[in-house]
Amino acid sequence: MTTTDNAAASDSAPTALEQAVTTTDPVALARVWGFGGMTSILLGAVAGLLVGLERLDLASADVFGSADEVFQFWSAHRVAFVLLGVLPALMALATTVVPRQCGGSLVFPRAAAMACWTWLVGAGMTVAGFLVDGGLGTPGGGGQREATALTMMGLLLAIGGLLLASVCVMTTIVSGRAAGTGLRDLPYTAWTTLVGATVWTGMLGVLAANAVLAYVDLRGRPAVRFGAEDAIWEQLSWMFTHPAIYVLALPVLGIALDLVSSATRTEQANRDVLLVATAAFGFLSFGAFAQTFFDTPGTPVAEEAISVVAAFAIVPVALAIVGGLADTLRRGAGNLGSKPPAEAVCSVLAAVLVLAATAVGAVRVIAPLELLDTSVTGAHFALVLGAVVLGVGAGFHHWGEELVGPKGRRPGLFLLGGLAVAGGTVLVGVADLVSGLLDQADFTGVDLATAGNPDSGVDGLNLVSLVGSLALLGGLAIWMLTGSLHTAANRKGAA
Amino acid sequence: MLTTGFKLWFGFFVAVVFAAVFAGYTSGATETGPLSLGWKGGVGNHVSYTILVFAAGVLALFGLVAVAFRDADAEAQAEVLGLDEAPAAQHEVGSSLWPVFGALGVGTLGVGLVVHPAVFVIGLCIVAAVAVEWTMTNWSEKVSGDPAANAEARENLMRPIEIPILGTIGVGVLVLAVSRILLASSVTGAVWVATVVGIVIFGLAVLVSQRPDLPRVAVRGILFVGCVAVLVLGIVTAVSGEREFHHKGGGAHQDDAHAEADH
Amino acid sequence: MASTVPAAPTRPRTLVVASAFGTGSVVMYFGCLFALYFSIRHDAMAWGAQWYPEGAIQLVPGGMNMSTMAMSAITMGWAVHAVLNDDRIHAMIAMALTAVLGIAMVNQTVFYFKDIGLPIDASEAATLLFTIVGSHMVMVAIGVLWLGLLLLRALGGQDTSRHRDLVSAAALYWYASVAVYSVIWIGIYIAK
Repeated sequence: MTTTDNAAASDSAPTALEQAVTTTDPVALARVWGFGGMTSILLGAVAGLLVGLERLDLASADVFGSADEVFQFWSAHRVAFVLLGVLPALMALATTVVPRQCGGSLVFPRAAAMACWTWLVGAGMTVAGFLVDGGLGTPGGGGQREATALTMMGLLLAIGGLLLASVCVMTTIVSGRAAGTGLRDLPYTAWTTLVGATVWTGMLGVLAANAVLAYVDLRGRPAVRFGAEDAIWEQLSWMFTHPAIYVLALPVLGIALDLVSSATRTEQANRDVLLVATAAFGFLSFGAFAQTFFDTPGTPVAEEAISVVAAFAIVPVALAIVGGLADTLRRGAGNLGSKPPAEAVCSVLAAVLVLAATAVGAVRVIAPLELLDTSVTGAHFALVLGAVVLGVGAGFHHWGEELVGPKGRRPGLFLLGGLAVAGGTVLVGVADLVSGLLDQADFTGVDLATAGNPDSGVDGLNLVSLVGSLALLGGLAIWMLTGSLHTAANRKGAA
Repeated sequence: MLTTGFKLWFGFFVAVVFAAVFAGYTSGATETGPLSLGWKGGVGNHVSYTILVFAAGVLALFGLVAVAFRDADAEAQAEVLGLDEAPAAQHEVGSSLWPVFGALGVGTLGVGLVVHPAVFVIGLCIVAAVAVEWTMTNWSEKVSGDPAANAEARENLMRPIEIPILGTIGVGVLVLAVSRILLASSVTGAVWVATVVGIVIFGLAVLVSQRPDLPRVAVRGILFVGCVAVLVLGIVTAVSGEREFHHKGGGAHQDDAHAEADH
Repeated sequence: MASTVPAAPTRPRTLVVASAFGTGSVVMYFGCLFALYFSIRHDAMAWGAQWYPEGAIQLVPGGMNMSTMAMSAITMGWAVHAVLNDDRIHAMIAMALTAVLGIAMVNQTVFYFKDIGLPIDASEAATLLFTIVGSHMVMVAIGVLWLGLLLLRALGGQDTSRHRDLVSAAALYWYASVAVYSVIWIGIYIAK
């Protein structure tokens, strides 16, 4: 190493900014994943709220200027939740908690750091693309092509970052375990992360292919088909609906199993059954095959036997996992005391919401009801994603001491936020479910025909859904406040 | 004995194969199409079937890797090395510039694809440079068990390459930026800009030389601000364009045969 | 300054496991593109529509590329074998040869694309063809870059059986790129 005198060495000590961007410490990077992810979820909730406001009057554009703008916010809401929000937030836990559960440390920390920054750059580009009238296409072709291309490129970078981080996490679980810890001995969070990451690395590769094809066709000349403004979202939409979104819920089920076991100080019975059930849940959430845009004449893929069987088969699987959770709660009830830990309460609520979501998903594919394009799809999305946000929040709170520090935890405030998130999710889910049964379309646009000419009761239900969105947003804001106070208290302590 | 990883991934493989065949036969497949990868008959919904077949292939690969490496258990790894205990899966690595620069390089590639090929090429150069630097950092970490000696080995190897290349790039970029500024200025303006900038640089250099106790942070700050200012001005003036050049007499285009409009 | 402290051993196979997971995702990327290609092609055929213009897709360039990739699979295997046997010279020759074959493949593909006379926006078939083959070219280019970096480390002495994972991980990725090309060759160039 080049020799330097002491004065020079002290001069060239890295600044706080240099330290922040050059760190390979998974805990430091988990804050980027976690804070970035939760901020995206918050922004996605705001976009959802605005779309909900617009939906209060189905016949005209009140909040936005046109149906295309409504569509941009509606699609931004889903992208922000899934690719920019929940998956990165899960990655915060996967890169810090999971390696500890395996008895080692995260392998390839430099690659994991690059994954984090690549995701951040991609997320920034995606958000910028949406803000400059891009997004993932528009039904009326009213968006800017260049901005749409920027959004697609941002999305590809975000996918790349998530994939790289997933590879690091999976390799850590497989190859970085301590002696004596077999794959079968892993805590449920690590196990479900391994299963979930297996599924989502496959699905993200497929999503990247869809995005690249659309991008290639979008650039420079009139689109042949794939890059047409009104076709892009449809090609990517499979990632944001049944069965693909269930994969996000899988680690949350693992978190719930671990947190309840920890809160009740009781081991889960029938461990092998739960391992198989969670693996089956992962298998049934592989949704890359259900590409509705490429439906050929005949039965649409969403109504084909494989989609219907998958939608129904996942219900008993989810029931088995929640049953395992309930059994542990029953056996360890005596250890819970009068005030069960806030995170355990939230994680159990999350697991129950996942079960409810699978039931809604099964109802959605019953062919005679013709619900696939109705707001039942939105209800399903809201229930799954609400459950995942609740579960991830519970994970953050439980392992917050390791991620942020011991000081300044506020379980009461956290529980309040969690109950608001759960309540909001239920309100949105139930209201949209009933609206869907009354024929309200998933994307309502700004005229009654696009909204599916629903029955008269949907106005009131849309108001209930809006209240739910507000509650969800309020809960998330409380959580962000809780997290900020927690971080600030530990920074102060460290100083 | 079959390992847990093998059971997981091979189990997935079998399930996905069944799913592919099921998807095929329930979406209009004919004869033995789904069983023969479409060789003898139709496979039904091509999208579902093909994606599931590829997923099956990937899962089979994972299963084979798991069983071949005994789930990569620590005990199995120790046995490969002939040790009693497996070494740590990951040794501690310190801070590193390469991840963030790598991400910026990839981001530049992406922006370049959307905005301009030149930006794409810059991204490509950044990614290639980061790949080499990252590799050599990894290489140096395996040279010996002494981090200081490893760092020295890296610097001995890379500094003679890095410094000339970075110096050339730095000088080239600055020259290009200054030339854009001068070309965007009027004829007299360019003279004034060059004179004032020259005096400022000279003055600062004299000031720094007169105060040897000036902290390095301050010197670095001055250089950083100066370089950023030149770069930003260079980019702005490159975008706004050069002043107009009028050729004398409208004859052959020769570098020494044109007059410039002072505006 | 040479140090007498030997480098601490690293846990083997970690890199190969990571390469398997990463390669799996790349293969799924191509799986999607092939799925869309076969599906749209099947629909076009079912409607009696023309998929590619007559004579647009030649068998020779695809066949030449396939044989180049097949040869590169052999040289990659040679590299792995040489590294396992601490045969440094052969390992470096084999890796360099593999990289050269990869470059040759990219070169042939670029030449063919310039010569093909089929604009990318001519039809859905053309867009898919350029996307699939272009993506594969990127995959091979990344493999060549990876091999180049391995050669750099090999020149620094890290190409012995102690470092076999470095080459094995790259080999796994390279074999996947050969496998993907064989699907391109059969599904696109031969079946047209």
